Amino acid sequence: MKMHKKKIEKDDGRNLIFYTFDDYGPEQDNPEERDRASISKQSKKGEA
Amino acid sequence: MSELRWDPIRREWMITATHRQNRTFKPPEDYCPLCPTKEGGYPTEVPAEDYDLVVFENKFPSLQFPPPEPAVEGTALMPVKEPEGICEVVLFTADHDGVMSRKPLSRFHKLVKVWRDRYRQLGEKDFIEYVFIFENKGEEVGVTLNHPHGQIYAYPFIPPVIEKELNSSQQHLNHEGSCLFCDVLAEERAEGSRIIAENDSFTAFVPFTARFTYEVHLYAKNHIPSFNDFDAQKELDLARLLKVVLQKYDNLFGFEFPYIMSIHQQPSDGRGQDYSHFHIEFYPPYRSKDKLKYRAGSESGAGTFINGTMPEDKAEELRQSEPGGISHGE
Repeated sequence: MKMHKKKIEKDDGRNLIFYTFDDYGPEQDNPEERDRASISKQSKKGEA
Repeated sequence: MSELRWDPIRREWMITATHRQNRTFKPPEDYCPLCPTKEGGYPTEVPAEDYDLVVFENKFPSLQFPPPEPAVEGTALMPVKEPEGICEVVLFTADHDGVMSRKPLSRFHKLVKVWRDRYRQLGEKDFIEYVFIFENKGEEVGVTLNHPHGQIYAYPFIPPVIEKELNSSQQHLNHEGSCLFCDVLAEERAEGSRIIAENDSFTAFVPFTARFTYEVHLYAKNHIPSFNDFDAQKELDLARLLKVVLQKYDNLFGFEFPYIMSIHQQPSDGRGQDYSHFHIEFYPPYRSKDKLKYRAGSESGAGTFINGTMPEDKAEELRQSEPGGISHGE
């Protein structure tokens, strides 16, 4: 899998690099994993 | 205003970076600065309608090149230095709501390749001593932008946790003639009760001295100092095991498991070839499904962690969490 880089300078002078790759087609999430995990966010009380 | 200030009591550098107080904090739901810039939409950090993986210099960096002048004068006892360094953001995917554990192996493989590239590129700069790659994931660990991303800090010094590890491993090498990390992994694999997954190149385990309930370390099986020593097989094997660990975390309680991920490897000056050992450490804040572990008095004030669980029991939970057992992570 060959990696390609395209570096640009943003308007404020910061560097940004786009990475692209050969040999990999469009990606899809894995439906099995989606079914298995009902992913959600939550926040809980903490303790030391 | 920003500078490095030397703490002569702890014997370590700390960073002031007052501009970071103004960094983007939980932006509105319809605006994410890490998403692609859509036609007719708000400009974001990425001036493109789509991307695969992107790395850019942090808009609110703790370390900068060229660095600003220190805002204060130091003393002989407490000197200050310019905050010279580089801080980068790594965007794992253009998919704002993407959950990495659900992403195909190829996404992890690409990420490992990008990490390797950044480690090499940043480490080649003469003012950089240590390239630290990490991820803060989840609001529970202070994340302000939910788009999947990690960070890289290229320091002009070796950070204290890394320095302590290197000193321990160097002393062990001098006394025992072997790499400390290799010996710890050999004991973990021989004992076996804390191993949660492995493949040909890497082992994931809850360490004997886990400080966090679901702490996991991922060690290279052979003595590999850094990303610079990876071959194609190790790239792929690391991607596989990272995916397995994240799947186990997310399937443990049925929600996207927050953590701090920290990659430890050889300093950029090349020292430690025979006692630096590539490994990754995960520190999740949850100590159960609905309770968080905080660094409180003993942990923050004295540096001694108290783990209210047995690492062996938590390793068993993680082994049982899908994908189950010892897995090659396809």
